[in-house]
Amino acid sequence: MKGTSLVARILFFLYPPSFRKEYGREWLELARLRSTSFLLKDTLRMAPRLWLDGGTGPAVRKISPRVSLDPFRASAMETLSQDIRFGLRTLRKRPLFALMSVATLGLGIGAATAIFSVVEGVILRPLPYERPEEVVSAWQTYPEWQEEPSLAHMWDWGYLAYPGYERWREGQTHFQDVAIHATTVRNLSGAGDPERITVGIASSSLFPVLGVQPILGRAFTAEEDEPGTVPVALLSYDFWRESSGGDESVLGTAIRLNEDPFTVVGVLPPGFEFRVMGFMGSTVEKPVWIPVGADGRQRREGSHSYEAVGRLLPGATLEQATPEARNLIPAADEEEGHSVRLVSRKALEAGDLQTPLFLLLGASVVLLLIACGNVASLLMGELARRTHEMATRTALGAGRRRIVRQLLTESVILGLAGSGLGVLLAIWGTKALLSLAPALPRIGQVQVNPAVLSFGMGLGVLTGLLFGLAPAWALIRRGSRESLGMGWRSRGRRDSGFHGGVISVELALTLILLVSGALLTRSLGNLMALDTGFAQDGLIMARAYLPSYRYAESAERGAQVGRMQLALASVPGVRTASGTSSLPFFNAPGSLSYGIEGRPEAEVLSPHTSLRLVLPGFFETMGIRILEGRGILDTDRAGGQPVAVISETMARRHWPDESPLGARILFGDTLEVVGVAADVLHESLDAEPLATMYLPFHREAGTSINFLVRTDMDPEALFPSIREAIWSVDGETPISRVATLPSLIRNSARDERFRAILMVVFALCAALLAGAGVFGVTSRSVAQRSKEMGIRKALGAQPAGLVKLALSGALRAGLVGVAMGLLGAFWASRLLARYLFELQPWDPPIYAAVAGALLALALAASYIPARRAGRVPPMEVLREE
Amino acid sequence: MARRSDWPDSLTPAAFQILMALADEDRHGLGIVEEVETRTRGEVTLGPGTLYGTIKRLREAGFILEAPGAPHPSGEDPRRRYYHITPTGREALTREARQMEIMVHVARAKAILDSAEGR
Repeated sequence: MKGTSLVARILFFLYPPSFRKEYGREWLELARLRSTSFLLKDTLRMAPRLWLDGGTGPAVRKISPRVSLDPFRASAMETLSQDIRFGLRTLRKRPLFALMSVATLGLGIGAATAIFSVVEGVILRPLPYERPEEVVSAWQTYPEWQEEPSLAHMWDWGYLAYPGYERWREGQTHFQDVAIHATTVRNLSGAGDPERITVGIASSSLFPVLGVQPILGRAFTAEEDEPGTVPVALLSYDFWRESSGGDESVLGTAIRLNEDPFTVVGVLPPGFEFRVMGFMGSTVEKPVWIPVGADGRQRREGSHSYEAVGRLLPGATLEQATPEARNLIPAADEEEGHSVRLVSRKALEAGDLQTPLFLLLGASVVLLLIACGNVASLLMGELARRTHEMATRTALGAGRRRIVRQLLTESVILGLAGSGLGVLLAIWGTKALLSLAPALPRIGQVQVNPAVLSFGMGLGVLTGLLFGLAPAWALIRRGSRESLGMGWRSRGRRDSGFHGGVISVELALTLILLVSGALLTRSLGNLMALDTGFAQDGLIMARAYLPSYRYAESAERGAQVGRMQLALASVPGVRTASGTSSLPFFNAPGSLSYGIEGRPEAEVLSPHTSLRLVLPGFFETMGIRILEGRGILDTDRAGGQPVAVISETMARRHWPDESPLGARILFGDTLEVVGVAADVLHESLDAEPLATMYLPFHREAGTSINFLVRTDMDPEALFPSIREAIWSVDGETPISRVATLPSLIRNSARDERFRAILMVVFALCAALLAGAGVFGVTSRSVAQRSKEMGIRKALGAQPAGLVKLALSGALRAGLVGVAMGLLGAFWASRLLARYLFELQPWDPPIYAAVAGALLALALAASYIPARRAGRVPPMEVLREE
Repeated sequence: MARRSDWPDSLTPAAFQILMALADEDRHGLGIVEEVETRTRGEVTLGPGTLYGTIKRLREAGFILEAPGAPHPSGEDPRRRYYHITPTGREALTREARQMEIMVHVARAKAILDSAEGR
């Protein structure tokens, strides 16, 4: 007989002390006769059960199959389904509790998952080209630009010139290959309506560098990098599907860009997007790509128009590749101090989105944790009320193990239901977020995907197990004896401090979010209420192009535009029609230099000004008031006395004390000032009005015009007629945009709106959850103090008094929470300050209103459970003891 | 369909074997193990945890008790504890055996088991 092995002795200690005491000797004796592996299995099977055994009652019922003995494996499933049915029954008996738990979980999971989907789509999802961490982009730097305000932001975002790229490509040793790309705008025809589109320009090395293969046809060849070859084009997947319905015979057909034919040689894969970064960059998807050789732009030193990218060789680093780039790219005569920087492109693309989006993710995780904490609290509240029931059941013979298992099953049911609801809310929430979001890159690809779905469901089940375990654990530790006795209740005082603290923190966080949301909303309101200076409603804009290859002369264009204006004016429903070279509100300011007759200085360089060429009737159509004199008339065509209308600000700038009417401005010609118009704000609503000079369009008719149409009808209904009117004069006119002014202005505030709405949604979710938390904690407190309430009542206390007693805890937590929250909000709102328009971060009315609302919420949420305190029948409670 | 766990006093296999072992004679732990192994021809092997854990539960259920009085006459170690099946335990055992008998009968009727008549 072998001696008791070490392993056996260790395994022995896994059993409960009482068992070891009672059966130890015999156990050890038998253990000697069994192999180690057998002992291990036997112990792992039995020891946990013996720990869980505690109560009375025959525990000889089969709980689950034992590996070496049991021929029937079905019993595990049987008891599981029993537990499920029992759990559902129990939850049905307490609908309010079940609903609150599921709703709380659902909200938390829904918010977390929706945000996660957006974050995942924009940042975490891999970029649509291979191994993006290897791709690097090169920028030339010009330190002296930092001095010049209009150039400062671009000093290290210098594009490359073609020769620089060629030198780099030939001489580099750290890259698999390098490539260049750029964008341009062309008029597309021959594929649907004439349209003005953004066109991508790519060297033949670009797609190989990115690791992108066309799904149809081919990419560009090295010959096509050189000018003079037959122009070819690649279509984006979406454009191909939209324009030809996915017809594979599109290869070999031609599209026309600025009237030049380009043969389609390939279609790019779906989801491919590669945008130019830097100040010429845009988030616009490019429907068409053409080779570098087909683009007419200059390829000499000094013409910097390309963004360069390269894919590092395996093992090569940015640091290694940079000195070489610095050597090769700049021209031989490049100034001292001009250099090159290499940047990971992945970092660029995700760039300034990373921090705010990850903060958002953090916030949503916090929301989820609050939700879980709340549900745990709710469950603890329920547990206290069910103590009596469970203790009774245990005394009647139900195994503690069984009860624990049933609790766990209930919690898992809640967890699954909550996560199911959460998934639904996530899907809806993601759609809602997307419709509001500004043009984040790749936002079109965001959808609730399986990874996120399982994240949500996993969270739900995990939460179910976690907070299901906590009360179950408490039950195991306390034992039924304690649960029947006083021990359970008297813990109330100790626990309530903790729970009160948790609630206070929840309320504080909620207050911070609410204040932020309120501030952002108010700021948005201020923004939208600004008087733009013109009448938005009922105003439609349509941008059309009269390219120089169709109309060589300004006079031709002017005449054509005049005809189009007449055509527009005769559209039924149109009150007036006019047009302008640049839309007020949306154009960027520049500097103009002009002279004023009779003034000593020959020329004034007037910063922050804008020049606008307008059609007759412009001011009337736009609804801009004429303060003095008149607007631009039909009679002010080329040939007559050149005139100008100036804006208020410009008048004030140069003629502060007198009327400018009749004054003469030297700007090419000598212009007579014939009118002063009210100021119009320009984009971003929060800057100073520009000094604007309005000249007749026909004076120098440009190649693009924004037609303006005023109507009393529903504007959108007029869109097709507007297009028709323009095309009735020239059917090949590309029209790039038809939109109402209010929608354009709304769009320009898209970022602000997104921020405000997101914050408000977060805040409301948090408020809901915090309210649920208060409800739960008060429930629990009332349940645990029911004996105390009963005694008080028996001694003559009024129900109202008891209710007040119960409310006092919630009130205390609320006040502490609000106090903490106000401090936190004051600090947090200073972070928001740069997003606030005409609003101080410390805005007493908002803070007071939010604090009051939150306190009211806390009181309301605690009122319902507190009422139970008044209703406790004293005799019942006393009898329970 | 009625399930085993729904039957009253359904015994775990270990409990069943132990009670079976004690049906004809009081035994101590090791003795029970030996009897079970012999009877089942090595099919069923009880580990110490299973054995004593089940013994503990059977005692709590009142199906067995520690045998009072003198140790086994064959002069074995007086420190050994002997166990004795109670009338309640015997009842539970009988009920379990009856259920099995019914199942066997049904199995024979469905030609799952060869009938005693060798059909």
